[in-house]
Amino acid sequence: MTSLEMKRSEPIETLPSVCPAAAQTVTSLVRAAAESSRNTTKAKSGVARKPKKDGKAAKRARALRVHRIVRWCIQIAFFIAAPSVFSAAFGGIKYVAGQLGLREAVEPTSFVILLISVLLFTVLFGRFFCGYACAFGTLGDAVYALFAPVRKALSIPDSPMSEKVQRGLQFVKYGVFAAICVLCFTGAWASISGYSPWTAFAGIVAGSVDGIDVVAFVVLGIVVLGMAFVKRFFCQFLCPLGAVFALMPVVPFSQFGRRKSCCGKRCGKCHAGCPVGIYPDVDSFAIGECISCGKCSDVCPVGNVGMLKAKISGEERPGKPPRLLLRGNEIGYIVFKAVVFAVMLWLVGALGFAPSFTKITDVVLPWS
Amino acid sequence: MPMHNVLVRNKVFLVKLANAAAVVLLVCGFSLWASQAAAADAAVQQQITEAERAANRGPYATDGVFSGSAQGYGGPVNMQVTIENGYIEDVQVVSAPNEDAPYLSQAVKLLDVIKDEQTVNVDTVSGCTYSSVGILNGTKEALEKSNAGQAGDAS
Repeated sequence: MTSLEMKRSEPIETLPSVCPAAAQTVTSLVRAAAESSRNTTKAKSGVARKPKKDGKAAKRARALRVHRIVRWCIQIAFFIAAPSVFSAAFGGIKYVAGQLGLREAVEPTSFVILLISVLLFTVLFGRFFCGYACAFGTLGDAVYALFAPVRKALSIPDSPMSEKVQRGLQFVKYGVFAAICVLCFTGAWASISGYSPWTAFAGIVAGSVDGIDVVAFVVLGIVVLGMAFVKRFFCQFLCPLGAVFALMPVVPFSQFGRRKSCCGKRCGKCHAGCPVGIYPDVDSFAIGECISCGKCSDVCPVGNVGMLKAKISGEERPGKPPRLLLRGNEIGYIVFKAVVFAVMLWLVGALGFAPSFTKITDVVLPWS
Repeated sequence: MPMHNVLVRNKVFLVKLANAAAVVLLVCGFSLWASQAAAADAAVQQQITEAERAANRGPYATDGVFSGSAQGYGGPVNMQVTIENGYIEDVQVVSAPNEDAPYLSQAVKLLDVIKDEQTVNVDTVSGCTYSSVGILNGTKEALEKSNAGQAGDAS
């Protein structure tokens, strides 16, 4: 029903004016939407209502802050507990490509099992791994946050490139992915894998940088420089594993969607807040870039962005945002996904006790 | 609870699903075919090697059973090698008291590789480098004893 709902592009002119009005006054919760739009006229005339509005704004800001803190906590926890999952999972893909090239059977090695489980998790819950659990993504977020003063000093905007350029660059990662697959298939990858920025990163995290080619550090340096000025620079433009994730079929109810007809004219706050510069439209191809960070749902002024909508059709609530059963950015839901992911990693031996953890780093760091 | 977007009526999702299913099917099908082809190849190879070994003497000087030992991950790995007609007929881990079982069980794949290649100059098993090195160096020590002519060392 989603796509039908979304595609039924009700012409904006015929919309009741309640939507833009609500956009100005209504705060986060849709539950309050109807009530608030009724109160709009009162709010305009009465100064007495202003403190309540501030109160709501403060509450909203507090919720955003809590979400940010929870996200950092989850990211740091996964960074410490499972810093090599991304390269191990991609190791599974390289192994498969290599076996195909050698005309040999693909066996369920620990990498392949990890890859399959991470992909299945992504199908069920979206790219939560990218947004919350990937060590390289966390590195990107941390570098971006640390360089905030520099960007301010140089007056570089949050999204320094046009939408078209950004979307175009996002296709580079498919090239990276294809190139690595071809190199693994032909067996040539082994000779240049030492220059991968992931190798340098793995060495730094493991605390042993002996034997890593200096080129790998230079490449990592360039990537980090990109991370400092563009949100999720590596993830959206270069990450070969991101390319795989972007092509995974994520069940629609685990992706952020919106009822376009209820969006304020030229609002675009979801787009402006999005680290990968997309709109939360479940039936667009670009939704594959979504890393499930939940920013769009956080910043939507009318509570129009969420994962599960209640079945109240547009006819019944014309022009009003849907009643959301699951916004997707609830702290409880995020923690739930983090726990499910952590348990899954533990089950496949990529988390927890030192042996299984070393097992994965051991292969990632070929010199150890 | 009635929910709107649980039902899958999403073109992008269906296209991606078909795509992913196709890739998985191709990889699985190929893998199945490759493992059968590999088994057939191995049978042919086996006959060739047996004929060759019957005709010529192998590279190791003295026949017999030799033992060797080397440092693995947590301690010594004790190996035993049987040489017949100058070929490595059998190679076994006699004891490896301080190796972690999951790693050692991966590393013992090397025993077949050593027998196939008739040398210890083979790649270690990734993920259990230390246990692999223990097995290879222990075997190497035993092979050196064979070449030095200390016949029947462990027999």
